Amino acid sequence: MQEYYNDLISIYLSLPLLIQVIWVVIFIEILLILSSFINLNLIRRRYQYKIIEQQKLTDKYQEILINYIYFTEDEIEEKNKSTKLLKIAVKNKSDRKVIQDLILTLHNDLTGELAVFLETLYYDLGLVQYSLKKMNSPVWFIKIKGIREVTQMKVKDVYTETLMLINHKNQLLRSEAQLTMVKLYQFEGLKFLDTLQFPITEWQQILLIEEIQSIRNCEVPDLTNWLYSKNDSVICFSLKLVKLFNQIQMKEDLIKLVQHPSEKVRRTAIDILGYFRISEAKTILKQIFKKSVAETQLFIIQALSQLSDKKDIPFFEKQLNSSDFDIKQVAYDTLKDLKPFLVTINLNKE
Amino acid sequence: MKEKVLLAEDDKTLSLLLKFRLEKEGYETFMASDGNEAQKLIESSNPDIILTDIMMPFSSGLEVISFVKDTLKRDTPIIVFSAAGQEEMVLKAFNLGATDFMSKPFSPNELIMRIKRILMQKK
Repeated sequence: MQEYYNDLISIYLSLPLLIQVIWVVIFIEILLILSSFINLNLIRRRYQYKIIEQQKLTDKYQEILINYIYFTEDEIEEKNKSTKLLKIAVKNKSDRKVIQDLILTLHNDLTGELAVFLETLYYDLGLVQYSLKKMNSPVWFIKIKGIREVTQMKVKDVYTETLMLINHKNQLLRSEAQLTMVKLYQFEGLKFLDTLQFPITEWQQILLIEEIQSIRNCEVPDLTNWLYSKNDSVICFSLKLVKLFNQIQMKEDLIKLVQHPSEKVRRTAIDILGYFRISEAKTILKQIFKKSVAETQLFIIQALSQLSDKKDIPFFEKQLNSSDFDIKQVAYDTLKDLKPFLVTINLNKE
Repeated sequence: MKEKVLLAEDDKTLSLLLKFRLEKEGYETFMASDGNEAQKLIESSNPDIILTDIMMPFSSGLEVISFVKDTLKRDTPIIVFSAAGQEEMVLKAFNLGATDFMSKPFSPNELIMRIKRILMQKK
């Protein structure tokens, strides 16, 4: 055997240097592949073991939880025992995760008294504290998980914690925090608009409005301050709320916003003026029409068409010469309503 | 004799909770965690009412309805569970012969009421 190795070494040493290096590299790679293979197997086994253990825990707590939900008043002793057991279990990380997941999943599928029962149980077991811990984690997606948990379980005492995340650098986290503010505190939660420094995306505005629309029996807050926010997206969003809640009494503010430096704010305000048919806006709309870019002009003429009367016929007639097809079309349509006979003649002439 | 309820639902916790509630109400409950298992149980146990989720592994709730109504030609009432955004599926379920539907999240109390009402009508 010794001779065999000696021969191998002498053969190896007799090889050119490059071939020697290649052999070393091949040998190291074989070792690396073998160790990775063993490592992967170990990880897989550990993972499988973890899944089996978790399944066992799920089965265990599933039964305890369901029995707990349906305990009657005569079974108070058993109920107290289960409460004790669950309270001890949540102190252990893996048990807690299973119990938390079970409560959250079940809560997702249920409404009515059982959902309220699960919310109370979540609180009683102290799981809220762990959700709050997640909210304070330095990792953004764990923060989101925490926020979602408190929102789902309707934990109300997280106002300050959520408000602090409104201006977080991560957009997803910001969005989640904003939605939570509205979901948990309804109109009161909209106060985050006071301090919001980042723009609210169009999609986020849709989500927020969807949440706001589900608010029942609440007085609409005063939107004035947000119409003068330094954040243009806050103004646009507030304008959408003005429209949603028919806040027609805010017409003075809407008229002022027609001259806002932001094109988007101007357009949104113009659109709402037309929607509310605020005739006092006619003069200012006509004044800014000339100075505006074609796209804004289209918004203005659309709004004016909602407010028009016979006195506006010269204005619309003038727009028939516009180089923009859409503007011309709105002008024709408006004139058709104002003096149908004349427009028909004009069109026939053309 | 106890009335038999077949519950086809892939969420194990929810099905256990419903099973517990149904048994408390005096029903004999059979549980299936997927569409295939549900079809086998329907054939063997001939339940008085079927509760099925729409989205399930192997075969869906729609296939379960079709199996009961078209293959077995039984008029067993079927209540379908659907999640938000599955309105089209619910329409398909009704076209296939479902009796009622409940949108998740739902209240187990309401489900029990509906089961009782449907079984009363059947009698």
